[in-house]
Amino acid sequence: MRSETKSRQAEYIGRLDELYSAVEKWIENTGLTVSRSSIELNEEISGPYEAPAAALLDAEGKKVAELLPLGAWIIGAEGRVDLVGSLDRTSLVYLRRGGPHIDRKEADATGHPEGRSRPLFQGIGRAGWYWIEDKRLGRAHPVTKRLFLDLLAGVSDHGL
Amino acid sequence: MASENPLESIWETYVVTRDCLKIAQRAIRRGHGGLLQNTEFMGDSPKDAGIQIRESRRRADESAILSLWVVFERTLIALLQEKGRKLLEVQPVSLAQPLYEKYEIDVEYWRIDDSLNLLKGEVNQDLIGWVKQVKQYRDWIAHRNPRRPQPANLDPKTAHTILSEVLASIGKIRASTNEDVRN
Repeated sequence: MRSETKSRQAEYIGRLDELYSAVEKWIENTGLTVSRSSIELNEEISGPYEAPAAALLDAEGKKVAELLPLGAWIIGAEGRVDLVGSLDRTSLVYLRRGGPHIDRKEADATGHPEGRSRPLFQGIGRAGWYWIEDKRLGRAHPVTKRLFLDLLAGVSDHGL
Repeated sequence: MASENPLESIWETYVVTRDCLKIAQRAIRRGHGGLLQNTEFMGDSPKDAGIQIRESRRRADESAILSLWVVFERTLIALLQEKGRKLLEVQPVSLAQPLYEKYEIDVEYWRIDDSLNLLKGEVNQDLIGWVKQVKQYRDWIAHRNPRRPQPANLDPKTAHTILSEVLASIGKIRASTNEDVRN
């Protein structure tokens, strides 16, 4: 495997671990716990490899939702993990600071073409895990404790 | 006002489908049997119904990507056909019509990568690269071969965002053509 591929895969696994560690803190005092496991991904660029997954369990050990890694090679992002509950699922993507940009030729005030760059997604102040909002297309929100718990309620009704 | 983005109706249908599946799942989980009257869920265990809904959700995601792609590809082909109408001005006139007719048909069969490459002067190359990846993922969904590893992954939201961006550029290309013709 090429070192670039190996490095991206390792970065992705590290980012998943960081997210799960953050989730463990966010769900303290909610009656939930995180149970970590791993699943096999098979991506065209890397071939098969093990990636960490995590289940969120209630006090009785029943699964409320799970974080399922989808891959490191994601169009427009550098990794994806889905939060999957019994009602719904939603995607979290890893974006670099600023996120993917689009360079466009646009006419300036004098009508001459001018190169301009703008982000594909708005609101990416730093590298990290983001949730892309549906209704206002293209607005990315960093995954924080509050957002995560809202998303968890949305996919599972937990806490409602 | 109706949206000019031809992908919006597909997107809206997908979002409504997704929400309906969520409501159905909630009704089953909360035991609201009355809401399930005269549906295929009657007689199923909540577990089996849940499995069916989750599978339907996965298929809805895939269908959304397939549908978004179909409309995108059709719009791109329509642009190329529209641009090719300049061939109707070729002399002699007796050559112009059959030449354009040939072009109009052939353009339907061009490789999508070649058609996309024609836009490189007007559309960002990274964006064109992402669209090609959307196509690869679309092909992987359509011809799913369990032995083939998954190409770069995407969800319907990202597919919608990327394809809408290119369609916005195609709209500008069309508008500029019309301006040129008027001038």
